[in-house]
Amino acid sequence: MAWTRRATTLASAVVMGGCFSANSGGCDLSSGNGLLGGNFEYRCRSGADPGCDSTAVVSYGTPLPEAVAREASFGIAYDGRGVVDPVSSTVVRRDQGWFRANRAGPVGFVVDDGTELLDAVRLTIVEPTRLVVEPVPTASAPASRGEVGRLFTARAVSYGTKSSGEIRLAGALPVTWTIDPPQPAADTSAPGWVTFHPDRAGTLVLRASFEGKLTGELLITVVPSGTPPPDAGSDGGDASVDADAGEDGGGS
Amino acid sequence: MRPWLFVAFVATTARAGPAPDEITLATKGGANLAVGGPLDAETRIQLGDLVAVEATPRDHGGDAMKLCLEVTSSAPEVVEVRRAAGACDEPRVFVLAAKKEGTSRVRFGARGTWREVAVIVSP
Repeated sequence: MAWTRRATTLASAVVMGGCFSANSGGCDLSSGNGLLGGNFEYRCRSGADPGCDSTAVVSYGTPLPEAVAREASFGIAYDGRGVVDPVSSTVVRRDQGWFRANRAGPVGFVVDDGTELLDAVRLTIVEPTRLVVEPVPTASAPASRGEVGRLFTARAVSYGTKSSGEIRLAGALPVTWTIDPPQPAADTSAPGWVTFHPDRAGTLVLRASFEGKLTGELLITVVPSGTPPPDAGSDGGDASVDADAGEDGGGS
Repeated sequence: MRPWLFVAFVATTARAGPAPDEITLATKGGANLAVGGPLDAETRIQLGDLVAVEATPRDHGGDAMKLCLEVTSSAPEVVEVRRAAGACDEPRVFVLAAKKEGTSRVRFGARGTWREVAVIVSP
């Protein structure tokens, strides 16, 4: 899938540099997205992270995500050099080489080359308040419907609230997946990401749950193997998918 | 007297020279502070956040002086101060990182002239 931020021009990246959020107080228009003028790169742990497309890396020069979900996994790199560390390991912890924030609010990262400070950057962490399960079209399953025996992929995407209103949050959110009826060999090893091969035609309910507070559901119509795809121009069989069904806005 | 802990070593030049009349502090971003605005004598930062500060020694006429600055944090476990890479006399940018809840007095100085700010780290 295309991620629209990919299309952002370098000029807009410069404008966003140093002012990743609306409340950062202003922008340094002279340089990259680091407070000291360098370029930080946001990295995605899995295709579940809407901060990237499925290639999992945001190019240099693109703005950093407006906000990352609490508890979601993400990565930060810098110009291909140095070591990036969070300011506080009690606020942002490491998890298998990725970062996860324990609480909402601004968080800072610094990068050094072992002796000198090279740059610093800030991200905004936001509490997820809504969860949505989205089908992920793949080369083997381009339509957003299920087919018996064919790989089906979905991800859990979270939303949160900033002063500007509700926004889509970056980060791969660890969720608990359930599929009704259960599907054999469903792979839920990557955070926020699930793949499986539907074993029967009919209707499936794919449900994601975050900390037992938020849930999102996707209703999937699974057609028999070999069923022709929907007519061209029908936008991939949307009638079979209810991507927003079942969300629960009861997050703390 | 509580000892000042040395955080970022930037030696004051050994040769004799005039002391700055004042040291000005301007933010370069972070902690929701306006870029280019002054750093208040009492500045609040949320735990885990940071602020970049440009410190400039100025002579009696207000012009910037080419001097290295010494910076200390009274509680480096609360506020860690690090100088940005590069020559110590230009630019003089420091990053103040809020590592633990509490208060630290951060001093910027050269040749006997000091500027101090209290940085309060909130949870």
